Amino acid sequence: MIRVAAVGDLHFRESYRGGVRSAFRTVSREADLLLIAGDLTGIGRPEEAAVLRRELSIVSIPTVVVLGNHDYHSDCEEDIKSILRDGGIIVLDGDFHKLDIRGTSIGLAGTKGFCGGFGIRQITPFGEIGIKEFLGHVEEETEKLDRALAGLNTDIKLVILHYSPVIDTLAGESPELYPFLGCSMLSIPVDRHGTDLVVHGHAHHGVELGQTDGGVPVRNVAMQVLRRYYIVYDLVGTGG
Amino acid sequence: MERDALLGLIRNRLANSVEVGALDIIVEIVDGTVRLSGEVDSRQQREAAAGAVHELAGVHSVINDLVVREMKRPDGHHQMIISAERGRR
Ligand SMILES: [Fe+2]
Ligand SMILES: [Fe+2]
Repeated sequence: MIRVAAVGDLHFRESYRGGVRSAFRTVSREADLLLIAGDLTGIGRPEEAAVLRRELSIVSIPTVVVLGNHDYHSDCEEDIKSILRDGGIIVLDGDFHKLDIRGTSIGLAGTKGFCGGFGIRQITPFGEIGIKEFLGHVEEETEKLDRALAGLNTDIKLVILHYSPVIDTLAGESPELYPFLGCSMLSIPVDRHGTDLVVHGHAHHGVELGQTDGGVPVRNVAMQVLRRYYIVYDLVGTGG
Repeated sequence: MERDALLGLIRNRLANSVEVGALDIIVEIVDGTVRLSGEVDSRQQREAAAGAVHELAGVHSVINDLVVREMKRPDGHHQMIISAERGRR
């Protein structure tokens, strides 16, 4: 059994100093790895990331994150990535990372994802350049995820996104917001390559449980949804 | 100032303030009185939100109905997921 702790949307501000450290005090005993599904910072300032990195140093299990829209807000996303990486945190942006936990190989693929809407209501890249560029970004994020997943042939595959790949986990959000909370395009590589679990954040007012058309479990782990600083998924194998 | 313009200004202020940085605060305006509601992460964020809005021209008073989100304990609640464990099937 592999124990995956997960949360999203910490929106860490410097004034929270101490909060994350105490919330994650025992996570390393309760889980084998910690995933953080974006929106690590309040408004994407490097100072926020630097304090967060210090607070997360209490975590001794591998910590794997993607950035969220808030982490891009101050145009300092590259600084934020390097600050976190300097602290030993694994930041995925269209890449993968492999781990071995008690003889089971774990592959993690992650990217931020983007908006675009769902199913038959997904926005079509038609008309103005603005719409095409908007959709172009989610297409790019989907390709990044596809390439990252293609690099994995591990026993377990986990995907981390900030935006949602499914509509299920948005229940409770205002319907006007749905197209800005995720895009079903992101679920295509998940189903194509096979995945054991997808975690995402961003939908603060959504629900935790969902799944892709291919039956892959999707979990909205936004802290605001969990009402906890993290949840632990016990991945139990059906094989072996 | 027009009500919609002021709403936009307030939302923008709440999103960009270092101590607030929130997009999901509900803002309503009735006769120049701004009502803030929804959930925030901390007491500081709650006060900072009202403070940031108060400073804006065109805002006469602020009703702060924001509540601080209550977090459940324990932090690490366990949930089981059956994994396919590729290559072992
Ligand atoms: Fe968020
Ligand atoms: Fe977000």
